[in-house]
Amino acid sequence: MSELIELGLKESAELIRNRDISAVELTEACLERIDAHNESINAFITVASDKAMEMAKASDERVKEGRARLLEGVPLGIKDMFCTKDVLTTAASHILDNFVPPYESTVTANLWKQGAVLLGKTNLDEFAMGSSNETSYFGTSRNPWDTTRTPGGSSGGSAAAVADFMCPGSLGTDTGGSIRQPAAFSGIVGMKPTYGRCSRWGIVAFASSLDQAGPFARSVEDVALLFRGMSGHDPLDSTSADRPIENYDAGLDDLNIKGLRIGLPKEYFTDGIDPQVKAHIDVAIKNFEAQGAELVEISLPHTKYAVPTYYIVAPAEAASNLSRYDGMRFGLRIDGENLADTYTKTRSAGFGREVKRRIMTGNYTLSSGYYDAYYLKAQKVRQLIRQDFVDVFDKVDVILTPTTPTAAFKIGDRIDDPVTMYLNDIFTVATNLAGLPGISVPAGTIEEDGKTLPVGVQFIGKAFDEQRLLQVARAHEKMANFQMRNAA
Amino acid sequence: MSVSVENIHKLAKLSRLEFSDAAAGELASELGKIVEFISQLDEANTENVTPMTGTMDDASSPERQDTVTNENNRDALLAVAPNKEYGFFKVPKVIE
Repeated sequence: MSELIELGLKESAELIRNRDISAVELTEACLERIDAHNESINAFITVASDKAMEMAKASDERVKEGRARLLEGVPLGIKDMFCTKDVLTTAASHILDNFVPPYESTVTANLWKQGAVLLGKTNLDEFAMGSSNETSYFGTSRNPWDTTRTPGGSSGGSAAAVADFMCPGSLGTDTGGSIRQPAAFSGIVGMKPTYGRCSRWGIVAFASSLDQAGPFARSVEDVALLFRGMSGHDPLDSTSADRPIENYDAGLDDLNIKGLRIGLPKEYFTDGIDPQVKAHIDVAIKNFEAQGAELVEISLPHTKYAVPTYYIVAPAEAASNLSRYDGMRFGLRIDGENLADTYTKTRSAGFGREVKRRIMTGNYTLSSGYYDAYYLKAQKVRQLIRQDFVDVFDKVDVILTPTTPTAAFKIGDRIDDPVTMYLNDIFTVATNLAGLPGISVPAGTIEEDGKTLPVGVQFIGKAFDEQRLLQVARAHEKMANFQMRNAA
Repeated sequence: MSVSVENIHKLAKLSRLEFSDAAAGELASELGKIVEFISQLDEANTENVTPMTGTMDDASSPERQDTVTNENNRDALLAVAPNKEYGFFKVPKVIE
């Protein structure tokens, strides 16, 4: 059984297509693993066993008929931000803990059309607001490398599920680092595509100008395949890009590293980085240099403003998006004395502390008298941050940085101070503000308090240049000395 | 940067949230720290910079074909409503 759960995503799809294994066998193996481990890891909020088995059986039928599709029979964990028809979708919030959507998000619908199997819905920070999974109404998810630590957030459950071999791949959303940071903390690969690559239709909205769905898996190749299956233009999302989708999983090894220009932004190599983390990033850089890549020191001068800009833009958009939770049409309702009182009681009981803090921050910066000083100012600084990237991408093909300044931290360590927690996103938020694609790939492991913990390296690409980004990530993966944890 | 408890209650009303005095006190101090943190942007020179509202350079406003695509999904949508009657969402009385 352990052999089955260790299979990668592409490998599973091939074995199923060739009828070496069945989708039912693989799905059963994943469900058994979840059954055995979810109590300690808390990666899944909902396990959709019956639906999973039904979809797996249908996949096996198609294979028999010779009609297997791209992801036929591959079981996936889906972050509980994606609406899944007839399957509970909570956003890890009390306000949605009874919400069974009558429709399916475009991205998940794309995956089911390619034959993938829904295993269940994974844990996250409430409304994806957090960097440690600790704000979930359903309790924090735990890091399989050390269960006293966070798997990261907000897509912590999706990362933990893949790192713990509960599924070969999963979906997350990334608004300020919510795919890349958990991927780094959990020793797996996670990519935030270019804004507009994946439809946002049917995803619970957090910050609409930043949110982007993306894949997790244990290899770059698997991430590339999943990305190919989920992305594409969607007329239902007016910000969806009408651009062709490539066969991202093919030609991953075609990159000529000789002459590849890799930018090293000096603002990302600061004193705040854990020396053990830094050592792995240095090795990654040297590996590329040894293969003939050209390393270019670059400057992204407005980097220090990225986190404060993000913490104006994201809460402002969130405050607007979350005004829809009023207890009238779906979700929780707590009856009050009149309409306004019903709204207030519903929202006060339904939202957790961090969500309320973000709504209040957002409404503070949007309120009259403060709008120009905060929100408008942030939109201008955001422009400067984007321009920094535009300027350097004339000189380099890809940018290399650490994904996070440290390895996974202990649960409870940073939850008391919101600003300290926000600084987790220091290397990831600028990518979202600029709308660029970014990927985190394991760079190695470090020892901390007697535990082995993974470290991630981040690559940032030009807009819509995921093909090259994935090739660079793949080249790094081949050169890196990273040992995935044992499934046993 | 300080945010007063009174200001918290005012913002809470606008946000359709309510806080006990103790919670409002804590929030005032947290929001104060957040406001101090985001105020770093004051020092950035943004003269003649156009505010950025989105990331799409080639943002167009696509229009769909003028054809009816929705099916009648009233029952499916009402099925998730917290309170309903006669095929409608039932809400508290708004006119006295």
